Amino acid sequence: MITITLLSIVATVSFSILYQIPKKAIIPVGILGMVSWLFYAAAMHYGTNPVVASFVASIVVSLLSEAFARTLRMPVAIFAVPGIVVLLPGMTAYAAMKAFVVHEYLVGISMATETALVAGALASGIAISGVLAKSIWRKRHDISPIHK
Amino acid sequence: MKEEEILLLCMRAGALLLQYGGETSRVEQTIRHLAIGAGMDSHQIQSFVTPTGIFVSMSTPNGSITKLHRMEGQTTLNLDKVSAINDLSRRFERQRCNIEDALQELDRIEKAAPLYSAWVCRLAAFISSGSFTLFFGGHGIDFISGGIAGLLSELVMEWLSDYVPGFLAVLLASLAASLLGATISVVTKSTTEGAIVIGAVIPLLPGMSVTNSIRDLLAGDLLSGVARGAEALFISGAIAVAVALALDLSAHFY
Repeated sequence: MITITLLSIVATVSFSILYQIPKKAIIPVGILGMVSWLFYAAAMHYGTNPVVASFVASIVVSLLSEAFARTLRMPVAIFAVPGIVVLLPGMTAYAAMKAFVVHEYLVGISMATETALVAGALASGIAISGVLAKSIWRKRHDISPIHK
Repeated sequence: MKEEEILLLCMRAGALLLQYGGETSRVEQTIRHLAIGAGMDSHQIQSFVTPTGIFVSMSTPNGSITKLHRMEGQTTLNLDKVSAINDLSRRFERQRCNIEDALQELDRIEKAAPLYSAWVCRLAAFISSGSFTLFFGGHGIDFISGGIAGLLSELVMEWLSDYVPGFLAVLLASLAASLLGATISVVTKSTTEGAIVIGAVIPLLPGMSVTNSIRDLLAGDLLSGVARGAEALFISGAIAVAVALALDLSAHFY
């Protein structure tokens, strides 16, 4: 468990370097990778299915990314993209492709559907927290008159 | 003429932001910040930004002037530079610098070397693919197998991205990486071939396009949101096809 948590930090940070993120953002990105994996693991531990667990983790991570982006004054994508990468349904997508290759189309379709559902859950997590963050931080964000 | 200069500044900043991977709503916002910083009224400037071109129109006492910039070449993701241009536009809006300074600063940002050199990026690709392999259930030595396959996909992307369109480069890179991953897993008698292949292709996933697409759609930028979303779908489809091809090929050979 501890090894996997450490791995989630290393994987997230080294992934984010490929996106050339600013040096100040590296520690927050590591924290986000860990948080997203821990929330996913906790939700799975309480017996939710992967779609719900991904959704919960995605909302938490995207809200945290918005908070980091506002306190450090950087674009949200710097935090949101690497933060969510450990949640991607890689193994399910792989299982789907593997099933298609050996002509087990029923297994393939069910795996592909799960992949699509998880990806949709991640995307809606980003969308919902984007809207939430806008309503939470509206007063502080709209100091300048242009946003009216 | 002052208006021409303001327009030039807006165009340069917008084009650079778009090229380094900023979302279109951010580009429009930045253009507005810059124009307001230069003393214009917010209704005097209108911009329309799509992933392939920028239109800015400005009404001045001497009539209105319009400029169009067609985006050419591949986008090179560089969030550090996106952040720097973003900062510059905020500083300019608060009138901490004048137009000449801002233009010089843009030149400096454009010419600056990437924050992480090519070698650091290759090392990062190796570590990232290796740790994703372990993360998805690989054991011990699979870290190196996944890392090598991930390194190959990074090298192929570096080599091809100048010549071929984005999703074709991703298709070829993920094909090469998953073939190598499958071969290595046979050689090392690994039972977790899947983890190695997935670890190798994960850095190619279009995370940036998906996030930008969602943010653009939320900002009401339907055109760019749909365009970016389609790009993301094409790229994920290309990866899926490449992995399926590699699996089929390796099943025939081994």
